[in-house]
Amino acid sequence: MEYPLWSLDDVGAEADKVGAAGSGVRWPEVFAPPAREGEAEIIEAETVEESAMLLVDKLLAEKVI
Amino acid sequence: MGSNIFVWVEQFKGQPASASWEAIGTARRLADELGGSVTACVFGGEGVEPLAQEAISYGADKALLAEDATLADFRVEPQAALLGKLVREAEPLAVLIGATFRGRELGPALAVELDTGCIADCTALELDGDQLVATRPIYAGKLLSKCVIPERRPQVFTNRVRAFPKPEPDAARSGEVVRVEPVLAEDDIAVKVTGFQATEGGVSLADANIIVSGGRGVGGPEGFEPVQKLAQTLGAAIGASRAAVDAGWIPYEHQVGQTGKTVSPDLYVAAGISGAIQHQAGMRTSKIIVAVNKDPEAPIFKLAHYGIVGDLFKVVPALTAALKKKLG
Repeated sequence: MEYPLWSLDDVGAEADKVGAAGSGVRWPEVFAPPAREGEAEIIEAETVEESAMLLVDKLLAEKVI
Repeated sequence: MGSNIFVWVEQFKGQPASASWEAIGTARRLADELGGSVTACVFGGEGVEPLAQEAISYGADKALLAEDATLADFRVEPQAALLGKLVREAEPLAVLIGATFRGRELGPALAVELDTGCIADCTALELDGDQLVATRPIYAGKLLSKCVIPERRPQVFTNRVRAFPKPEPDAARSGEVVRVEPVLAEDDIAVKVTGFQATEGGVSLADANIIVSGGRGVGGPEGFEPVQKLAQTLGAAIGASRAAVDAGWIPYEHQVGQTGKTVSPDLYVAAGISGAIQHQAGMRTSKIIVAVNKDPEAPIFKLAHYGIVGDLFKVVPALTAALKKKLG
């Protein structure tokens, strides 16, 4: 199918209100978020139960539970 | 142009949104740097008056209070019209709005009303002179962008929920409460709220301090049972990856990620979630991330702070048991 191409006049838009020039917002800087320090700490113990206990201790120390 | 900051206080049937208090805390910090003041805007139906005082206790100097039936259930037109009028009169430097569903609707509508710019979903706000510089995530959080509204005033921002600290309320703080009248009459408002439908109970994802999520690894609807038990033990909300939602194992309202909800809890537990970039987009700003996955190469381990490699059907129940033991 063919798509109609509309101009600003067709849609009744004012040129100074559209596009980057029409925006009140400017982006002076784009950057990568600071990398998280270190890799995940993989918790490994003899048994699953021990691993779970170790993880709970870590979470208590982080004060998130 | 003043150095005052306006904050819109969101409420639902008289219950305030935490994001509004987070906005007031941020507005207070910025206003103190500017030597300006903070004005809270509380617009709702009859009975929202206590929120004006509550806004002051969180750090506002003044509250503008409108109690009217047209403002009872949120609709963007009467809220934007009234906020727009008050902002035009007071000429604040900036307007802060919590980036909740309603706030995300109101912020841009207000910016159009005032012919200014709106920077949505800010995760940081700092001052450079009287210019506010916002940081916001773009491309699903892969990049951050600093944004400014250099020429137009006021500057309108929506602050991402839980990205800013919620201040401690101080009941001893005092401030002026000024009553204002709505701008639009009911006949001027096209949208009518016909009713509300409650979804299932449980903790709402957006406000949760802790979220436990399940993904493809849970294997089926019954596989969410250990996830639910862990969530219950932690008082957590239940999340899910798109894979689990698309499979029909759990309703969409639990979906975290680019096409679901964006969350930022203190603790996010991802069980059986590989950690596709689209999922990460919805949870990467969580304070502590724990991953439980069979596959040690799963991308979630690159993002997680703590991980256990193993079968979630063994690890998750063990975690629930360990928590019950430790927390009593």
